Order: sequence, then C-alpha cells, then structure tokens
Amino acid sequence: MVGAAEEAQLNRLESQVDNGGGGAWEYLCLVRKLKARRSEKVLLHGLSILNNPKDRSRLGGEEWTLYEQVAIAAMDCQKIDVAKECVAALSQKFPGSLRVSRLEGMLLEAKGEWADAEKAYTCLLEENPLDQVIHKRKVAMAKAQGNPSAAVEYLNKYLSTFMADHDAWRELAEIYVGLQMYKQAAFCYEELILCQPAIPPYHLAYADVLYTMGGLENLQTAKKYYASTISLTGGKNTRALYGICLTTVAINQLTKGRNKEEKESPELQFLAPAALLKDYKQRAPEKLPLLTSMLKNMKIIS
Amino acid sequence: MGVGFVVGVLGGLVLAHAAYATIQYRGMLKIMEEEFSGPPTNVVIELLLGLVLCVVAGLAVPGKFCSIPPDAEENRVVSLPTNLDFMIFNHRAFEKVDDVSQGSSIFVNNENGDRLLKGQGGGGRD
Repeated sequence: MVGAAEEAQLNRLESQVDNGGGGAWEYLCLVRKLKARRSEKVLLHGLSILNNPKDRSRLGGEEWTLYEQVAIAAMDCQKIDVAKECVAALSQKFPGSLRVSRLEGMLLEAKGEWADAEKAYTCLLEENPLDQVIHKRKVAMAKAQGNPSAAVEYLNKYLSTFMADHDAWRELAEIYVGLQMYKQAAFCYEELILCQPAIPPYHLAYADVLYTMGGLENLQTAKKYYASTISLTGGKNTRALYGICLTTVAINQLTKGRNKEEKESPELQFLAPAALLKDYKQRAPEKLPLLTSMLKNMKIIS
Repeated sequence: MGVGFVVGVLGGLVLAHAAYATIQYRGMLKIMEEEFSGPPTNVVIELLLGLVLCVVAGLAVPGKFCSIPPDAEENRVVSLPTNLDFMIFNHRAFEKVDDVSQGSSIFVNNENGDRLLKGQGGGGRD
C-alpha cells in the first residue's frame, strides 16, 4: 500500500532525479517497492544507468533486476527494441529461466502478437500449471484484446483456485465496475474488505459501488462505509466526505414524507460539509465559493 | 543516542552497586549474627533508580517509535499500488508510437535508433 509519507518521498525523489540531482537508483528502487507505474521516467533513468558501464557495474547483482524493470517499462512505452535488448541480455545471463520466459511472453503481448503470446503462455503453463503470474497475464491479455467478459470468466476460474489473491479480486471488481455489473463488483469488494479490513480505498470503492446501485438500504450501507473510510484516513479523504454529503441527500429524498422514526448519527450530515468547507478553505480557498454554492443547492448547508 | 546510552550505562552501574551493597550487607549480618529480614533501604532505592534509568535507556536508544493508528501520517494509505500483474500494453502509447520514435526525448544515447543499450553484451558475459 502507498502511504502518505511514501508518496511524498517518491514525488520528491522524482523531481530531484528529473532536475539532475542524482539518486536515480534510489528512485527506481522506490518505484519498484511502491509498484508505481511511471514507465516513462523509469525508462529514461533506468536506461541512463544501463548505458553507463560504471554505474551498471556498481549495482552488482541488482543490475539484472534493473534490466527487468526497464524491459517492462519499455514495453509500456512501446519501445519494443529497447525491451527486446533488455530481455535478450537477461536470457543470455539466465538461460531457461521462467521469469525471463514470462518477459518474452510479455514482449509478444506488447507487440500485439496475441496468438504467439497465447501459445507461449500455454507452453509455460504446461510446465508450471500453478504459476500465478502467467495466469494473470492471460487475464490481462483477454482484457487488452477488448474482451472483458472472457477476462471475467478466466479470472473467476483463477480465483476459485487462488482465493487469497487480493490483487486478482481487485482486478475482478474493477472489470465488473467497467461492465456495470455492480452487484458482482460489490461482492468482490466485500471479499477485499474481509481480507484487508484496514485499507481505506477498498471501503471507499465499496461505498461508491453501493451508492451507484441506489436503493435505501444500499445508500445507508454506503454511508456507513464512507464513514469508515473517513475514520481510517483521519478525515483526509475528500471523496469520502463528498460521499457522505451525497448519500445524505439521496437518503433524505427517499425518506421524504415518510416518518423518520430512527435516524442514525444525525450530526454526521452537518459534520461532513463542515469538514469539506474547512479543508477547501485551507488548501484551495479560490474554489471555496464553488463548493459553498453547490452545497447550498443540495440544501445541506444554509 | 548519546544521552540515552550514558543513562543506560549509569543505570547498569547503579544496579551493580546495589548488588555489591547487598553482598556487603549480608557479610555484615553474618559477622553480627543477625537474621536476614529484608534488603536495606539504600539498596531498594538504588534498585528502583536503576530500573527507571534502564527503562529510559531501553526506550531511547534503539530508535524512534512508529505510530500504530491507521490514520497517522506514516500509516495513512493514500492510494493503492498499480495492479502491475494485470498491466496491459495496448493503451495510448500504442497509437502514439510512430510519432514519438522520431526525435524522441526518451532515449539518451540513441543516435540512429539501432543500438540502444551500449555495451550490454559485455555486461551479459561478466
């Protein structure tokens, strides 16, 4: 997970490296650790290390990790020739390695040679039927070919074997949201919250899905999950604050006219706009009038 | 670090002195042929002082404390990592590839576009 401090460090290092302040290797390590997708920068700075024999030999064994990282970044930037050279260097160093063969498969994918990539992955799977990364690559391939329903099918099959893989659950949830199958997406997010209950983005995404589905019960649950996001982030998540405002309005509209016998935490609907206003006043005072007029239109504040 | 370390050493010395004082006290009791009923007050005070000093040193020397609450600045999750296992490559770069490859800013040592990683073969053999 990417913490606030880590993200700040990454941005600081990035601007330092961009301005020629050194620390390229530390930056690349941090990108790898945080699993950030900054392929263009990785390609630029990684290549400048690889092109410099002195820098490269200083890395020792880590050199090969860098080759792999640069190869993937190059594929992401569609620099097929760079990727090819990196993979060639790796396969010369580690002949017959599974990790390198995976990279070769990804290279085929990047070129758009789907049939060949499929063949390569099937071949690899015959030798290691339990290789999770290759299974995931096949899902990604189906997605890349514009066939999300096949990806869903494959991912479901994968998840029945590897149920604890939360990255796969997250991917499935995102695909379902893309397909507007919110009920299924909500199920995936429930699964994610169950296995990692302290991660606010999952709570937030679950609440978003529930809010999109609508209906009184879903809205009330959505409000609870927005509230839990707020408590997990210490009120620093603007989206969750907006979520509270919107669900409050939607619930009020639905229950209008009906007798409101029990209302949970009535102060919440005043606290969320107050927190939003305070946050905007501090960080973006020029946008404060926009927010105020919007909240007034929603009849949350007077 | 420095202050904590000195405090720790001091605490250890105080404890050692308490041990020495106890031994001396028991020797004295033997000479006076009295029963041992309990440690003398100065030893008890020394022991308490040593305990406090050692605890302070133990908390101060090893390093700073990490915060536990999930909404603390160090722990607060701001975003999820990119799902790199499911990365796909045919995004906008795929279409842009033709106009980017000429005169691109990405390559540092790429004059004619064919040798991108100089001296890579040598690195492979070492």
